[in-house]
Amino acid sequence: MVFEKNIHVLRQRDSILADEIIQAGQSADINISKSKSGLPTLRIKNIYVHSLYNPQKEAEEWVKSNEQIIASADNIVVFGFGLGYHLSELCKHTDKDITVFEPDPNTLKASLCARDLRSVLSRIKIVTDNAIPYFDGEIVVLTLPSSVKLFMNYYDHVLSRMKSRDIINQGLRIMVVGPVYGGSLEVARYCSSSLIRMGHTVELVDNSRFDETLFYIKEITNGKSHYNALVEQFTHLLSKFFLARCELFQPDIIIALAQAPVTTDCVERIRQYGVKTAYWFVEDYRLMEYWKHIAGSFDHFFTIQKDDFFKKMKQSGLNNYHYLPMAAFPDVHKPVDMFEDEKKYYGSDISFVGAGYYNRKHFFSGLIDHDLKIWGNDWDMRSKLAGFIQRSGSRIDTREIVRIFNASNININLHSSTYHKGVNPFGDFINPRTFEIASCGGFQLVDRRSNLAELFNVDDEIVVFDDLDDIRNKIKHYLENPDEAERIAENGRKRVLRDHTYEKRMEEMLDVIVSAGYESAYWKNDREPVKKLISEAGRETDLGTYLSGFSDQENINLTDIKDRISNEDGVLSRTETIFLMMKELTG
Amino acid sequence: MNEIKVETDQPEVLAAIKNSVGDARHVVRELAAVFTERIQPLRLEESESVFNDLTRNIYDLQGLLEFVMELKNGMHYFEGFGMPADPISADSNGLKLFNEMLTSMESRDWVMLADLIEYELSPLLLKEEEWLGDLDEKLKNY
Repeated sequence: MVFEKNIHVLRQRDSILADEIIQAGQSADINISKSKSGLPTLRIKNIYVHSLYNPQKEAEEWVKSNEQIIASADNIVVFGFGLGYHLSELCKHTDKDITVFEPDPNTLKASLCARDLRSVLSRIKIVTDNAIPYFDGEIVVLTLPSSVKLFMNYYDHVLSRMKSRDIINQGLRIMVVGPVYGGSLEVARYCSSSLIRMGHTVELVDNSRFDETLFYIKEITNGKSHYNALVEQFTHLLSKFFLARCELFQPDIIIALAQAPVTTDCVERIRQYGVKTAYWFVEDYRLMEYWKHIAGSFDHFFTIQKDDFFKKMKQSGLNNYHYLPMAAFPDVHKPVDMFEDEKKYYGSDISFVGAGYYNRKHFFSGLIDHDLKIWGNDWDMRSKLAGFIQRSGSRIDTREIVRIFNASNININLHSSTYHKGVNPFGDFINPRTFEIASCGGFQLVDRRSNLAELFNVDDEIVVFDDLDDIRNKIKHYLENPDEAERIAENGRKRVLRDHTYEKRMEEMLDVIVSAGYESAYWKNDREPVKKLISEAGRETDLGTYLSGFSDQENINLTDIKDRISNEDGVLSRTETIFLMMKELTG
Repeated sequence: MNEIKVETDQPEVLAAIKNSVGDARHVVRELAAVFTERIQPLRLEESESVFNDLTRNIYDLQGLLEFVMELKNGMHYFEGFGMPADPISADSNGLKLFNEMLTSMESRDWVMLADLIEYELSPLLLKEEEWLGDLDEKLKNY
């Protein structure tokens, strides 16, 4: 009975956590017994978390001992929930915001079963993962040591992240580099918008303005060697644009999205300024092997796959990789109101949005006895699916995709495969569509992926299928039970808003970058005015004469001089030799 | 006043007890205060310094227990002056508690250790100190 009352209050603040706690099991390691004062006390793995004699008095003394630091803070962070005695006392003592980190849902469940914690649960925010909330003002961290000891690695990690947050909260200059075209173009825009919202100064290098040139290169030659050479030249040019833009914007961090036209030379040049560089490889490594050539050039390489991919990268001598799944952008991927004619136009019993990959062509042929609409390009208009393909297979923009997700009773999400006839049984990563449909509040049936269950609670927030027979049964079930589908879709949307937005991903990315050791880039102090350098050297001296060769630039540094020497032919002068030696010595 | 029956062939034992009871009272009082100081740090932090301080105090406590055993043996010669067994020796209270504290330390159960100090050891030391006071009085009157 106490548990239900507690859960009711918790649900009003955090329904996902409430469900997580309901689903948590009873651990044999957790033991609740009566203390000598008659109040319940908690023992985990044979270690007491609260006093066996008087947990209430212990909590009062805990608050008293922390009185001064509580008074000095705007936000109070507590590590360890225990049975919440210390939290009850803390809530009585202060009306400041309290955030409690507790990684173990079993402990939370035991606590909510043992004590009436409604007054605490209505006041505090509970965090069970690594997601550090953004705090306004000063933070103090109080600990329940006995509880912290049980999950030492978790709390060390959280603490390190919180320290990084101090730096991040001051606001960073971040440059986001997008591709010329392709799926990651939108991702770059979402990342950029999210970072701006988080308070950073952001420059988006939008290379989509060059897409016509790239398509033109494709048109003007049939020869692969010509095409490759031209694309390489074009990439070098765009990379130089990026470098020039960098020198003007002077970022602290650069985030390049998959296919961004940035050469490794440019990245290395930028890193010399102390700029932290990250690459988000939102690609399937099995299909796109260019990661081998670029991953090592960046400080951090974020991927949407792990396990086998990590093994491969490790074998390649890399250790800069981090898993960062795709996400949704709720400003765009959201529930929308539609007129009846719109609903009719975009809606159907079952729909699919995406390109006509090999596996999809096969798979959807088994669903043509349904009210099916297929949206997207690269479908065969001569196949038996032709009657189901909307607008003759033309591309669909994001605005319309959101409407389709909203209007369809069931959105089918089948990850692409070029060699399976249906579901890829070895599929691991989660495509953006999974998050986007959920963020729209759409109901989806998604093919089973090995990484899905850690991102969504299967059956409660999302429904998976394994093959054609399975999906046919599930389509029938959910068309007959729309309320159940609606409830799951709503849970899925809540989960995305809580955990799977681009803002969350950017938080995670910045936390990783800054936690790894961060100092501001030294753009500002590195270059000096050429005029000043000539004047100091003396205009008529060898050095002054040499430096006057840089008069076309306003400011230079040793790297600029070294680069120019490297690009010139002929015998080195004495001055040039000295500069190269200086560069060698200073690194 | 109870009749004190002393074995006269053990005057050096009586003298030793007389001389040491005052010191023992002081040590017990000091230990009780020091252990009380350890309670909050044990509940609030798990630092190396708290651990080291506590190890030292437990070593001192072990010395006190040894002294109490000696005293108990010594008292035997005087049939205890008719006094009840001292609180630490009675029912091996001190030894049992000491072992419990060592177990808590080994398993790094600081909350249990703090509880044992706050709710068992401190009261026991205060009782022992009281008992030593009574003994001191009896020895003065002897």
